[in-house]
This record gives sequence, structure tokens and C-alpha cells, in this order.
Amino acid sequence: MSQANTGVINEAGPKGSFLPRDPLLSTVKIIVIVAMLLLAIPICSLVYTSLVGEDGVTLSNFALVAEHPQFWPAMLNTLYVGVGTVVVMIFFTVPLAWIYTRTDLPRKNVMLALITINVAIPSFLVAMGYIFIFNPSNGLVNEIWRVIVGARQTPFNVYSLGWVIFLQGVALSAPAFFMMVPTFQGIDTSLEEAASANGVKRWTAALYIVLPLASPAILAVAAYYFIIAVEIFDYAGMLATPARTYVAATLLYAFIHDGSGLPRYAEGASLGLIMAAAAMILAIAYLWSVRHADRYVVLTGKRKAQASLKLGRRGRRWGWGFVATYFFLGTGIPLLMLLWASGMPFLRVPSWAALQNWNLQAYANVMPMLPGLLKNNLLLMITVPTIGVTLAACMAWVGTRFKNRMRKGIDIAVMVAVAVPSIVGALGFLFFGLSINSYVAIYGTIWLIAIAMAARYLTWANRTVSGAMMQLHPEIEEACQVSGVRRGRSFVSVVLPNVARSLFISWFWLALLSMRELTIPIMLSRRGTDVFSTAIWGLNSSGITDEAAALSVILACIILVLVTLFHFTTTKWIVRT
Amino acid sequence: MITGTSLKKRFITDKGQVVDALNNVSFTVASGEFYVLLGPSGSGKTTTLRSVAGIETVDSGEIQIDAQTVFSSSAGLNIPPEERPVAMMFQSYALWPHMDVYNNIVFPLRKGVRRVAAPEIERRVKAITETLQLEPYLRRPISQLSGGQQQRVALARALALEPAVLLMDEPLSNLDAKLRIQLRIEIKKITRTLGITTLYVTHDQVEAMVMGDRIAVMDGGQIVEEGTPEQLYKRPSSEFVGRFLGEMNFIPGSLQQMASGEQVNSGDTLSAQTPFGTIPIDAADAAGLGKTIKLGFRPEDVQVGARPDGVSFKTRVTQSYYIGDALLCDMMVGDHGFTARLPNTFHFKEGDETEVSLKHSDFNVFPNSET
Repeated sequence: MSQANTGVINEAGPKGSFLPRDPLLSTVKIIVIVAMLLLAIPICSLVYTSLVGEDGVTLSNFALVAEHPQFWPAMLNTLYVGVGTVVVMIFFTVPLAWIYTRTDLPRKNVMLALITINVAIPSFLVAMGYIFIFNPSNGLVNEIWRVIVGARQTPFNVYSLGWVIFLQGVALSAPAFFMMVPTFQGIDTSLEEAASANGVKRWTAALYIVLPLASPAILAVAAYYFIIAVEIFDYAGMLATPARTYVAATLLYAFIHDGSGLPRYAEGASLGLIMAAAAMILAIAYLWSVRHADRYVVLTGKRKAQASLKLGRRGRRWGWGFVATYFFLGTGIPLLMLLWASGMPFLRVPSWAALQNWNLQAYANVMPMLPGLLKNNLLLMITVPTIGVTLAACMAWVGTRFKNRMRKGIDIAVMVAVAVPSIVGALGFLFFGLSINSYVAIYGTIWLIAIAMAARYLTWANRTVSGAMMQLHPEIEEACQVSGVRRGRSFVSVVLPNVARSLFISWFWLALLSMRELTIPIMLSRRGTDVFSTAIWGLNSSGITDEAAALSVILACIILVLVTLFHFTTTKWIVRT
Repeated sequence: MITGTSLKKRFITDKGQVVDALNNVSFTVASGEFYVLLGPSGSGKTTTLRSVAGIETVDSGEIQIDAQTVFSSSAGLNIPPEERPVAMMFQSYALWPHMDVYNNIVFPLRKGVRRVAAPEIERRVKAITETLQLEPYLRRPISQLSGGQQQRVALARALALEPAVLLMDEPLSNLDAKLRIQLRIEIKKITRTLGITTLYVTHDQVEAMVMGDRIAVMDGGQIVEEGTPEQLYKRPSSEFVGRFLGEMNFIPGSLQQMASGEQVNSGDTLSAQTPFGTIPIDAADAAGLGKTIKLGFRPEDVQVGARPDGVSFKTRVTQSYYIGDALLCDMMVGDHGFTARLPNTFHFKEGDETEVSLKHSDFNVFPNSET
């Protein structure tokens, strides 16, 4: 019975058998290796494309990038956009988190739903909605201004970095809100109670006690979203590029999709590497800066703070006023604008007469596109989360439960992958697709988009599932081992069912992200692989704004349905378990 | 049977300190024996148990289960836990939360390495649930069971595997006191009936004595002493064991040769001068201890009144506590204090003076180390 084996876990089967001893465990390990390859592909192909020229290894591409007239302005603009976005974000997200956690504002579930919608609504829809309002030629507000003041000069120009900053800040406030809430919840209510018992007013306590205690966490959230803010493509792509103002992400896009001339792949790759390196430095700086962040926060045993601040009638009005303003800025106004603009071939100032002319012509025009778009989007919506969550579950398990080299590899791969900007990763997959296209015809297919998206979202799902797995008591799995159940089997039959909720949430969230993604498809899609986002982008760039708006309204409806479904299924799930 | 030979495990903390989790641990559990590893937290008892199970790996040494070597550092052998003929009960019970009682019991029998045919599964489930009175709960989700019921399911799951040895890691420590006492007896009875070899880890000395056929007391990664509960309690070989198992009083003593006429027993060639008087000592017990020693005795051995076969002396009561089944008295002889556990028929108060006595054989001799 006893077999002489070396090594901690032996996987080799009994002598004379080709089958591995624990086939499920071997499968998991293969999946993890695939996941790590997916994470490594973009960086490797970027390095290769940027460094290897016709005459061997060269740094000339980096020199070309640095000499490009737009390079330094773009870098400065990126920094400007990053800082500005974070300032706007803090302005919205801190009061929102404070209202949600520390006051007795009624109907907080509605507030939560509104903020969730703000997270889910695609950025390019918001940008387009604002183009309809503030563009200098026929933006609604500008039109109204012209009628009232009669001046030729229009006061608002949406095509500027200021608007990019404002809209990005509004958009990022929603996910930042979810990151900020636990901090505010963790601050012990008795600190405020002590203040009021000692004659300090509640508002004063909020300003002088809660805010300073939360400030390290606020700074951490700000630093984290700075890294995100400097890589977002959507707003700058729609609002700054038309004004020939570039940030790093849009400059990269311009290198590859230059309307005039051939794509400059090598320079694009070099710029991508520079961006990835900068993001990596920022990420390391972020991790370094938050390593002691928890030291300053007074977290006590009381996990949930009761509503400490009793808002009066006026307070409630102000509170809801702020929440509603935020929702309308982020989603309400742009969506209403899209709805308005989708009903008329050219934009008109809202009036009774204009409303009577509102029609469904644009919807009829885009109908023929729908089957193709729906097919592609549905394909992405199913494959991306399925691939992503499968890979992430295996990675999370090996990453949290094994003590070996594979685990270290996962840690490094995840850290690097998180720092690579979306558009840079997409470019990496573009090169990868091109280079293997003669063996596997994947370039220009929806599958390459699916793989690139799955790789991009993998790290997000990994974090969620890892968190759930760490909550699972290690003895649960040890009990499997000592009762003769192999590790692979215990992963499938015990670990996975117990983290099912996080798998489900990750899957659904990835499905939603795949619907709102513009950056990756716009880099990788070709004729026939258009999805909603690229189709809307294309129509808008060609000036067919009513059809772009109509498609946007359809997409927004689909996403709202998905969010509602998500909301109900998760609540049901939580109640059941 | 379980044999552990020269088990060593060392790890380095974050601060770079080297900690010997196991320092040359050797033991043998005979077939059908209930063997308890007892010690304070961090003494290495759980590490020993987990190494036998295979979910932790020692740096060096050899482990055998039923004559099968499952770990040997010299042979480079390490059988994974699922292939070792063991079953284990955990402190947290570690029941699979998404399965009901029935599936918790049959999952390893269906999907594990030690799977058996369906009729055999049903036979085992029937037998084990009858023994543990679990039949009414078979289809209950784990979350709807009380702590005691969960404990029974964990035991049923382990026993259904019909393992060569059963490993238990403080399985009763999460239960309330009454249930714990009840389950101690139940577990002991079942393992004895089935004749199963058991390795049991606890930090509770009463539990160890109630359940163990033999106990190994561990401290600092070593087995300090091994023996039956009575041996360990009556004749602990070290002050640590004396203190760890029950209460023990200590008084200083200085050794000297005894005149031949004074000998009570033939072996007593030495005597110790103590605050209580002269106490004859077996030379074999005091071998190599030096001139100054420590003598230990149990509080319940103190008797009120004189006795012929021991030392009698006057004491003053400094404090007394009525605890129901006994009267605990803090007493002083000169400036040496000790505690006595007297029958509850006595009513001493602070300041009372009385004569008490101890048998010569009540004293244990220890080296005079300051602990």
C-alpha cells in the first residue's frame, strides 16, 4: 500500500498509470496556468512589439514617442485630469458616504439603488448626453443662452478637459462610495455621542471628529481612484479628442487608429509600456502609503453604526437634495437628454412643438443593426464572466489555500495585471491576436475581445472570490482531507458551493461590465464584431446623433433591467442562505 | 497503533525568532488505546496531532499508523492526508455547511479515496446514526443543529469511515460545561466499544483524566511526562506536571542522611527538614537533586488532626472559602502558606488555629528550581 514518494503533495498516479492521482487538482492547476498566461500576454506582446524592430532590439520607438509633439502635453493633461477627477470625486463621495452611514435619512435603499445605477451606466452614454447639452454648435443650454442673451458667443464648451474632469469625478464617486462606506460605518458612534454629551453639536462633531478619523481612508480611496482616473478612455475620447487635446489613453488610441495613415504599432506599444510602468509605480506607491492606513482609524467592536445624526425636516430635504442632484448629474440628465435626442434628426430646444415632432424614426433606423449587436453583446455577456469567474475561482483557491511557488506567481501576476491600464492591455491583446493570426484566425473576431475582457476583469473577480474563500474556515477543507477526500474534489464539492454567492455576484457583475465596456472593443473590434458601445461610438463620430442616441437608450434600458435583476436575485440569495 | 519518532518542527516568526514547535517528540499509542495530549496553548499538542493526520508536515522524524509508515524524513516519504487511515474531529467541527447531516456523513464515503459501495454506506450510516441517536436529524441542514448535535454529526462522520485511528483536536471546547461532561463520557464509551485507537488533544486537565487511558503532558514542544492519569496525578515527576494537573502546594526542604533507627520504610535513607517537620524521603526519588529540594503535596491530602504515619503540625487559617462540596482554607506555618481542601463539615474562620497532618507518602520530591 505504501508508496515511496517525495514532495509535499504528490500528484503522480500509482506506478504504471498515466492518469494523475488527483485529476481535478491537476485540472485546477492547468486552469491557473492559463489564467497567468492571460495576465502575462499583454505585457509580453507589448515588450516584444516595442523593443524588437527590423534590426533587432532597439529603443528607438521610445525615442519616437518622446519626440512626438503631443507626448508631453498629453502627459501633463493626464496628470491634470487625474488630480481634478479625484477632487471632484471627493466633493461628492464623502458627503454621500457620510449621509448614508451617519444620518437617519429615510429611504436609504432607494439611495443605494440610485448610486448602483450610477456605477452601472456606461461612461460613454453620460459623455454623449452632455455633448447634447453643452456642445458649442447646437448644445441645448448654449442654444437657450443664444435665444435669451442673443450673443453669438456660447458660454459652454463640452469639448474641454474641464468637462472630462467634472464628469469623470461624478462617475467615479459612485464606486468610491462603496469603498468609503465601510470606513464610515466602522467609526464608533459613541465618539459622536461622547461629543454631544459634552455639549458639542452633532454637526460640529461630524466635522471635527468623524472627518479627521476617516481622512486616512479618504486619502487612500483618493489615491486608488487617481490610478483609475488617469487610465479612463471614454470621457477624454469623446470630449477632449475632438478638440485635439489628448491624454495618455487617447494618444495611444490615436497612434493605433490614426484616421490618416497606417497604425503606428511600435510607438503605441512603447507608449503603452510607459503608461504601464507609470501605473505600476503609482500602484506600488499606493500600497506603500496605505500599509499603515488602518492605524489611524478607530475601529471598535461595534460593526454597524446606528444612525447617529437625527436630521430635521430641513436636514432631510438637504440630504435628499444632494443625493438627487448627484443622481441627476451622473445619470438622470444625460439619459433624459439621450431620450430627447433620439426622437429627432437634429437637436431642438425642448418645447411643446418640438415634443410633438418627437418620433421613433431613429429607432426604426437602428433596428437592422440590433440582431448583430445583440448577438455579439450576448456572446460577450456569457463568455466573459464564465471564463473570468472560472479562472478567478481556481486562482483564488490556489492563491489563498496553497503555500507554494504557484501562489507567489499568482500574487505577482495579479499585482502587475491590476496596474496595466485597460487600453494598454487591449493593445497587448491586439498584438497577440495579430501575431498568432496565421495559426489561429482570432484577430478581428469576437473571441479575441472576449479573451481580452476576461483577462481584464479576472483580477476583479479574483479579489472578490479570494475574500470569500478567506472567510471559509481552513478546517472545512482539512476535514475533507482527513476523511479521504482529495483536494481537487474538496475544491469542487465543498469550497465552490460555499463561496457560491461571491461567484454568482462576480459573474453577474462581469456580465454587466461587459455590456458597458468601450475601451477594449474599440481597440479590437472590426467590421462584424461591433458591439453596442462601438456602434454608438461610430454613429456619434459620424455625426448621426439621433441613431447614436437611440442605440444608447436601448443599451441603457438593457442595463437597467440587468441591474434590477441583479438587485433582486442577490437579495433573494442573501435571504435564502 | 500510532508511533511518532523524534518529531521535530521549527519555524521562524516574522521577527526572525526561531520557535521549536516540536522538539524531538516521540510517543506510541497502543491499539485500542485512548491517548491524550495535554498541555497549555503553544505546547505543540495540536501540531503533533495535525502531523499525524498529515495536514501539517514535520521537518524530521517518522510517523507510523498501524505499521504503515505515513511519514519519514529519512526515506523522503509523506503520504497525503487523504490516504492515511485516519479520521479527525476538529475544534470548529468543520462540518460542511452546504450539506445536510446525511450528506456530511456519506460525502467522504462516496467521493473520497476510501469510498465504499452503496449498500455498505447505508449499513454504516444506519449503524452510526443509531449509536449516536442522529436518525431524526438526517435531513436537517447543519445550521439548524445545536452545538451538541453538530458535535455528534462530526463524530458520526469520522466514525463512518471506520478509521484505524481517530484524531480529535479539542472537540469539546466549544460546548457548554454540562454538555461537555456528558459528551466526554459518551465519546469515551463509543471509542472503547469500537476498540478504536484514539489520539485526543485537550488543554483541559479534567477532560484528559476522565478520558485518557494514558496522558502525555506537553510543554514547549516536548512531551514532559507520560503515564496513566493516576500516575501523573499522584506521582508527577516534575513541578510543571504537578502544577498543571490539579492544584499543588510546595514547601522547601533540605536533605540529610537519616540515622538508621529513624527509618520508617526500608528505602528511606534520607530525610528532609521542612517547615512542617522532618519527612523521610526515598533515596531513589531524591537521586541527583542536591541538598535543597522542593516538596509538593495536594490540597486534598491535608487532614485535620494528627496521624501516626505522617507529619503533624500546627497551622493558622488565614482565609477560608466554602465552595459547596468542600472547604478551601489558606493556611500558614511560620511564613509558609499552603492551601488545604477539607471536608465541608469543617467551619474554620480566619485566625483559627488547628493541627493538621499529611502522610509521608503524600509528598513528592522536586528539584529546587525557581519557577
